[in-house]
Amino acid sequence: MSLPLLALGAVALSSSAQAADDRPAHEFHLVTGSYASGDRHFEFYSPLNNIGSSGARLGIGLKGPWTLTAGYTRRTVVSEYFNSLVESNNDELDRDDAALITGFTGQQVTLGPKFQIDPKPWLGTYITTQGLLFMGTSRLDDDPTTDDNRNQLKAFDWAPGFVAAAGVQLNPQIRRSPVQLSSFLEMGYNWTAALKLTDENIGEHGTNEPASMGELTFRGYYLQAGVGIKF
Amino acid sequence: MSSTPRILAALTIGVLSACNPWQRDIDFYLDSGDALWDANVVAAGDGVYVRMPQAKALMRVQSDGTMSTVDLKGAEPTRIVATPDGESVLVFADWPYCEDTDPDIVRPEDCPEDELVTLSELALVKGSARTAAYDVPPHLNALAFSADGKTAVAYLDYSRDMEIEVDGLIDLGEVMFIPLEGGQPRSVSVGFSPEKVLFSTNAEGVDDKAVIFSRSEVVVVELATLETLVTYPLVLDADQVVDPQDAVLTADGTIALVAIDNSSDLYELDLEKYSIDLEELDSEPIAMANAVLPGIDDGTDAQVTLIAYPDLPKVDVLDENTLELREPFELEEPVTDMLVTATSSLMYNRRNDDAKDVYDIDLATYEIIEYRVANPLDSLQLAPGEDYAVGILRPEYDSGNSLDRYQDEHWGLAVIDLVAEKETSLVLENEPVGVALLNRDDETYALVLMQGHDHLLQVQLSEPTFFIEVELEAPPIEIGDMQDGRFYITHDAALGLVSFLDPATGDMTTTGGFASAGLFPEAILPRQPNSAE
Repeated sequence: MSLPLLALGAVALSSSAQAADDRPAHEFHLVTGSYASGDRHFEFYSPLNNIGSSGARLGIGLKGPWTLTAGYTRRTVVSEYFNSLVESNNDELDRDDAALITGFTGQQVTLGPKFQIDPKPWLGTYITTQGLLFMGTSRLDDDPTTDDNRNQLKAFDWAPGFVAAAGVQLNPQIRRSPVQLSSFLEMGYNWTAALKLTDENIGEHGTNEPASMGELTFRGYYLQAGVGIKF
Repeated sequence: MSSTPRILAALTIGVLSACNPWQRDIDFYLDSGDALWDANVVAAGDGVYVRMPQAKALMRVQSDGTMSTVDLKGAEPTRIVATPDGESVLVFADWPYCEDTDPDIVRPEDCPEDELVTLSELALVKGSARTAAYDVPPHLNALAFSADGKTAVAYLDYSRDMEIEVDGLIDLGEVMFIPLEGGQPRSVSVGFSPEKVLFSTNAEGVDDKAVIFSRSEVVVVELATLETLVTYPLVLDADQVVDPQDAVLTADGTIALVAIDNSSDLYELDLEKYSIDLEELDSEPIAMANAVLPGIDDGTDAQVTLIAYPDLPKVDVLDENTLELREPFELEEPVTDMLVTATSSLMYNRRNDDAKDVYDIDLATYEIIEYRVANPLDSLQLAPGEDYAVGILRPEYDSGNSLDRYQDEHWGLAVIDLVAEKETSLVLENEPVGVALLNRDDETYALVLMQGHDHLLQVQLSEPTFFIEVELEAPPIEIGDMQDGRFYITHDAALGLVSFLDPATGDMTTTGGFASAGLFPEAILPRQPNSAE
């Protein structure tokens, strides 16, 4: 989702705000950012060591400098392989279409407190630690020109984790209003337990368990920015 | 408009645009280093064994569609060979090992570089289980089996273009005998670069000796004791070097016939009297095969060895009893390959583009029927009932008129009706990747797979111009037969695709997706002293 669209939404919300005297305690932001993977196996889906994340975050003002934030973000990364992924005696199998399309959708649900100090009325600095629920869906397709080919494989798992970050928040006061424009930028570290991706359609004969693709973790540098309102 | 609907509308637009991830273009184009699976599968039992380089694993895919990962205890399979009984496979496998046994060392990157080595073994796999493992040096990359399947011999085949890692020292003349029914493997040094291993049988039909052909010498090893019985030097002067080019054992296993590179001498090694004789031939042999001339000597069969030459239009007949040359088969063109049956031999040339004759020789009467195929032969095989022979014709660039040129430039299929004595050369759309022959309902069919072609051609050999196309799920790579008479077909599909064809019914079942199993292997050191393994 593009930043101009986020800004447009924020302006639309802001212009409708009613004037009030008390300072806004709650906040809502449309957000975009990334979660680092740091797992070499994620290279199967993307040459980058992170996955983007776009969505929304709601903050409920608590006592004093504390805010409880909850967010939902998601992003899909899709890659195409044209080289043959099958070893054979043929030097290189002739190919007009992609040999494989890999897609990975990451969905993140976060919930946690934010401790914010505002050195200026328009500037806030904060630290936050949030619990993270990371849901991953792998989609693999080795015949993208056919809609119902046998090898359209989907695997899913979720894993708990956390985000720890520090950030700054800008709350420009265009006019005295109970709803203010707001934006933030935060950076930190994300960590998840391993996602154990299994495809229910690919069964292990010996155990009758679904065949496991393996494990993926998302650990490393975390970044998120948002545009929204305080109300 | 009140503020609440406007807020909701703006939120809805924002959330919807953040979802719907599949409506987007490809983000990246990638290039994978390792293949997900190896389409050169090996059939054994009721399934095929598939090597998966990315997962560093071995997968068993059965014809009923089920699949299972074979637990090789953390080792990565590098090559698979089926045992002679067709029920098991032997798997060359290796794994990283850290000689520093510090329990904190878990991953290869934790291990000091000079302490990290690669260990290897030869694992015997039956079903989905690793039932035995043998400590075989990693440079021994080829296997030969005794006819009874009880003994395997591992040796170095340097033509496989492998890298030889030396850990301390290695003996390039080493071969290892592996008792497959229990017992310890044992190494024997048999000279330099052993290239071929044959087994001779005793009077009771039991394999009792291994005959190993290496540079400038032939070594005979007794299987019961693994003692070297005799070493035959192939040269008298140590400065001379000769390499065996081909070798056969006579039917009774008492004589080894050895052809030498760039020499017209045929070495006759008597494995009982431990003597050597030399037969001077007219040229350097290119192929040898055992055969029987039925009733040729006043109603008595004669055991012979057929000897073909690349430059002479004849096939010599060496009597295995007298070691004398009998009357040769006189031909019009040289031949390089022979398919021998109980009563006849098909002879043809795969190495000379100008030689397109196929000879069907009656071994009892010396009667020769000559067929002429349109293009040079790439391969030839006999149908199960031996009524037909089917060959793959490769393109050639020496053309005559325009229609000849068209045929010459294309791959083709030669169908030879050996009963009606008729040959038909067909033009194929693409290069064939495999041909299999089968009998069904008193008819013989050729199954032809072509590169990049999503169909299997089923050619009825009695009327070869009529064929039907069987649709495949993906272009084929290879076709092979299984122990139970079925055929397997591997396909060009990244996530794995194997079809199983029942020739009796024509039913085809397909199994896919197995190459996604273990796609993200754990990078831990297996088999460390303190590991769970």
